[in-house]
Parts: sequence; C-alpha cells; structure tokens
Amino acid sequence: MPVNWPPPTAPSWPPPEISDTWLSCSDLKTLIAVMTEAGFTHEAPTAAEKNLYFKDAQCDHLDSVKGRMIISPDGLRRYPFAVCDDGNHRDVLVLWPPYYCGAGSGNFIFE
Amino acid sequence: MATPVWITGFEHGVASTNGGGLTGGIVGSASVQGTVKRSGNYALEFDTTGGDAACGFYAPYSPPASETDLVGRFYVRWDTEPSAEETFLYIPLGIGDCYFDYSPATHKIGCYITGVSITWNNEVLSTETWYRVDFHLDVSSNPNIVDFTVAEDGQSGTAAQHSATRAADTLFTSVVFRPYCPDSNTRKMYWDDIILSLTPGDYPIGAGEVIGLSPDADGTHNNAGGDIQDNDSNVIDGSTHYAYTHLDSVPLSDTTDHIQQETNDDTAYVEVTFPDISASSVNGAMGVLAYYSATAAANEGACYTVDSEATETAIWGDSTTQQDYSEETVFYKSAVITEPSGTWDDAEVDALKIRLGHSGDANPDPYWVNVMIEVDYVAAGGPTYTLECDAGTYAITGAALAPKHDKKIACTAGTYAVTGAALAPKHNKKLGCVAGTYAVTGAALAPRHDKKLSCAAGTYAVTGAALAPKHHKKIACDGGTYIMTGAAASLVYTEGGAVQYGGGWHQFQRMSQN
Repeated sequence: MPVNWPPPTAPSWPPPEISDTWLSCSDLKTLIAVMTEAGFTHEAPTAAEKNLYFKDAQCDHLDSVKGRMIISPDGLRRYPFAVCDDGNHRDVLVLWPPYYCGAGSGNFIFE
Repeated sequence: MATPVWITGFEHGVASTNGGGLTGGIVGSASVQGTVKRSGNYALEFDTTGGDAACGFYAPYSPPASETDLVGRFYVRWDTEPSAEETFLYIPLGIGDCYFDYSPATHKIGCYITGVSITWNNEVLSTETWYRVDFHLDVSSNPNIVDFTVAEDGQSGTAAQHSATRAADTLFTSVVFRPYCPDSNTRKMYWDDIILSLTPGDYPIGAGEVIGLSPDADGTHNNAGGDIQDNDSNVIDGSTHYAYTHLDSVPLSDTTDHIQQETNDDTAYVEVTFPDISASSVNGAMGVLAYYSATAAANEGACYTVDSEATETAIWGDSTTQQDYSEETVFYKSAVITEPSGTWDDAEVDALKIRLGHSGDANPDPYWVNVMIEVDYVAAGGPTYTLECDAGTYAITGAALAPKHDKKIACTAGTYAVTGAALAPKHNKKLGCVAGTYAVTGAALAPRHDKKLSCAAGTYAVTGAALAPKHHKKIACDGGTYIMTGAAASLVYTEGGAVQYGGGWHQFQRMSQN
C-alpha cells in the first residue's frame, strides 16, 4: 500500500458536485477527463501543499511522488493526487480505496 | 468482426476500476448485479431511485486520437424512466461530443453532436423491456454522421440518421455510459451485451449475447519444475492437482483460492481450457483476468490466450513479455482476443486456451485468482426475431422466388392455396415439394423444416384466412413476382427481418400493402 497516503487533511472524497457516494477511475487520464467535464480544474501544488501532502508520500513500491491538485468549480476544495517518480512504475495515488491505481496508471501529461 | 475493442456482458460480475480491465471509471450508483439481466448471469445497473442521482460507467477503452469511426451495439432497458430528457450515452470527440438522449415524454432515443439539433429515432420504448441499440459514429468528414438503429429485443427495429454539418473530428476518450452529473432526475436502468468496434463495415452489429466462459479443465502444462502451485502449495500437474479449479470462480473477485508461481522460471506455465459453445455466429471474444500478489514489491508474470493457430493475445503479459503483478488487492485486466486468420466461429472459440505463469521474478509470488473468456455470439437456433405484417395483400413482382429458412415454418390453422408455374421448395431435412399447384385445406398446417426452403422461378399466390409462417433466420427472395392474398398475413422472420430481392438485401418492419 502507499506510504503516508491518503493525506488525512485532504477534502473528503468523492466531490459532491459529481456524486454523494462514489467516484473512482482506473487511471489519471480518465480522472482528469471526468473532473474537467464537471467543471474542475487542475494545477501544480503550492509550496505549502507540497509539504503537506506529498513530501513524505510514497507509492507501494516505495518511490517518491510528485503531486497535482484538482480544484472544485467553486475553488473551495483542492484535492491532492500524486504520481510516483519511477519512470517504469508510474503509479497514481488517489483518494479512494485501495488509494492507488497500479503500474502505468499515471502515464498522462498535463496540458 | 474485424476490430472489436471491447466486449462485455458484465459476466465477470465485478464493478471495479482496479487495474482498468473492467472499466475506466465508476460514478455513483453504477453496479454489476445478477437480478435483472438480458443474457448470461450479470448486467450493469444504474439505480438512483434511492438517493444519489449520479451514475456513470466508463468503457475500459480509449481510442487512438486519430480514430474517426466507432461502431457499437448494446442492450438497454429502463425500469424507472428519468423525469426529464437526459443523456445516457456519451462519446467524447476531439472538438465536440456525441450524445445519445432518452426522452421520457416521447419514450424515444435520439442522438446529436455538439451544436446540432437532436435526431429522434421513431422507435417507441416501453419500460422493463430490453432494447438493442446499434450505432455507427463517423466523424471522418463534413458532415459528421451517426447512423443508429433502435430495436425491441428480438425485433428488426427502426433506423435513423443524424447528420451534423461540422468539420471532421476524431474520437477522444472512452465511451461513457451515464448520466453521472447529479440533477433532479432519478432513474433505474440496465445495460447488457455491449460490443464496440472500430470498423465502419461492422454496422449494424445486430443481435447477440455475451456469455462468460470459466475454465473447466486443465490443458497441457509446462511445469515440470513445480514452479506453479495452488494456494495450498500443491504443484499443479493436471492429474492430481489442477489449475482450473482455482481459476473458475464467478464473480472474479472471489479470492477463496488461486494459483501462484513460487520460483523463478519465465518459461513455466499452466494451461486451462474452456467449455464448448454452440453458435451460429461469433462476433468476438475477450479474455479477463483477476490477480494480485503476496506483497507490494515489484515482480512479474503473464496471462494470455492461445488460439488454434498458437497465436497469443496478452491479457496481462505473454510468453515473451511479462508484466508487473505487484498489487496487494485484486486488480483486473482484459484484452479483446485477436481474431483467427479465418474468422470466429464456435470451433475457434472452443480451441481457445489461457496460459498463466512465465514469472522470471516470482518474489513476491504472483497470484492468478480467476480468468474468464467473454464471448459475443448468436447461439445456434436462436435468438428469434419477429417481423409482423398486417392483414392485407402484398405483391412482390419478378421472375423468381427463393426464400431460405434456417429453421422452421409454422402455419396456423386455415386454408391455403399455392398456385403458379413451379414450386420447388428444398429442405435439408424433411420436406420437398415438386413443381405444381397445391391446395392445403384443413384445420392445421404446421410444416417444420430444419434448414432451408427455396422456390424456383415462378409466380405464387398465397390465399387464405391466415398465414403465419415463422422463420428463425432469413428469407432471401430473388427478383420475381410474389403474391400473397388473404385476410391476414403474419410473417415472422429472424435476424433483422432481412429480405433479399432484386439482388439486394432489404430490411423492413412492415411490408407495403397493395
């Protein structure tokens, strides 16, 4: 399982704009498609968010991670997601069980 | 079919995004259940009548960015309609999007591409009834075209075409079965027997059902070194300890037992085989795997299908390229199986095997939990589709009549006169009539044919109080003169009610009346 993940201070999942009960995706590309269609945006984490969410997080292969924030349409909630640094593993850490999507799930380039 | 890209009847019994093999995304109350289904043992359910209005299910397939055509067939039913029109199928495009909507006001299905008014299909739907939807989305040029047919299960259905004057586009991301955005609508609906293809000529895919084949025997193993064992550490040998008994649970999430590779050997594998099917046609097949590992550390393994020509299709790794199995909970992978060089038929499906193993790094042990082959096919002898003609007189003119029936003709009680220059039906089994004039009178006439009925050139008149032949498959009529008169004619055909005359195939729901 990922280490120091999910962050206990992250907003509760799923976002109420989409579902009251469940939202899960198999990879980062699909997650971004679902969220952006519902009006969410994404951006790099702030320095404070890097320190809060991603500094000590590791994927299940114990690789360090890089973070991305997905922001609610009203701008009030910022959801952290992460991709492990290993160029082959590329696991995505997410906010629903089992909190990761598996090898290759992070093969997505943010535009 | 040349290029199916996703086949499922949800026969794996699982709604999980883990691994991306079953779905790309699940939103809200989308679930796989076994109570309401069209075929097999499971179907997808959206039931938002109890609260959260969100529901959505992403196909585990994302087309290449250059793709311009998508063909699909699925079955859908509404048990509780939404209170207002809403999108139930969404196909993202590069610039715009393609939507299929359902209207509870008219009980119809429509389609549109962004910026263009919706085109409604004239088929009127009823609740608690399965409907087949065939579609072909073509955005290769201006205008973009969507052909779509809506048919009550077992019927030939009604075709419609949406034309959107807009620039050429491309497919973008996964097909989405939805709605998923919360609103005031609630609905209870089901999906089953889905197949998607990238080949324009596959439209309309037509009737079919998806069944899930679980392994029922061991094949030939390459496990002399005892590398691959069951979860009680018994070496899989195919005589005392079997692989298939540990891989056949449904739903595939059942982790009661599994097989595992204990020691490194990237050539070792075990092989399982599947029960035979009886099909009149096969659209394609997809392999499905559930797996995990003893711990989260990196390892490798393989699971792939082998067909009659020894061609491998990797579900997750194959004999030469292994994949990472290091998940601590059950993950799922799937792959549409490469079509054999001939074409799919039941013999080719029967020949399919799955091999598991090939781990050059079995620390931690990779666990293979369950496997399945989902097959989209038309079962031999069925299903039956009906084409009904109102009472009246119909005339088809021309020189020849050659109806061909695959299965049965059943005529209800009545008086029938068949006249003309020649009548020579030929049956593969039991009934053969030479040229002449026939009058059949009496209370009942119920000839049954096993295969075909063909009539030579001539003019035929069928008169009487009732005529209700039932055909399981096809009627092919050459150009000719055909006259059926009488108080009632109720023809029942199969396979889309296709009738061939004048050198071409024609689909119709109701024959025109003289």
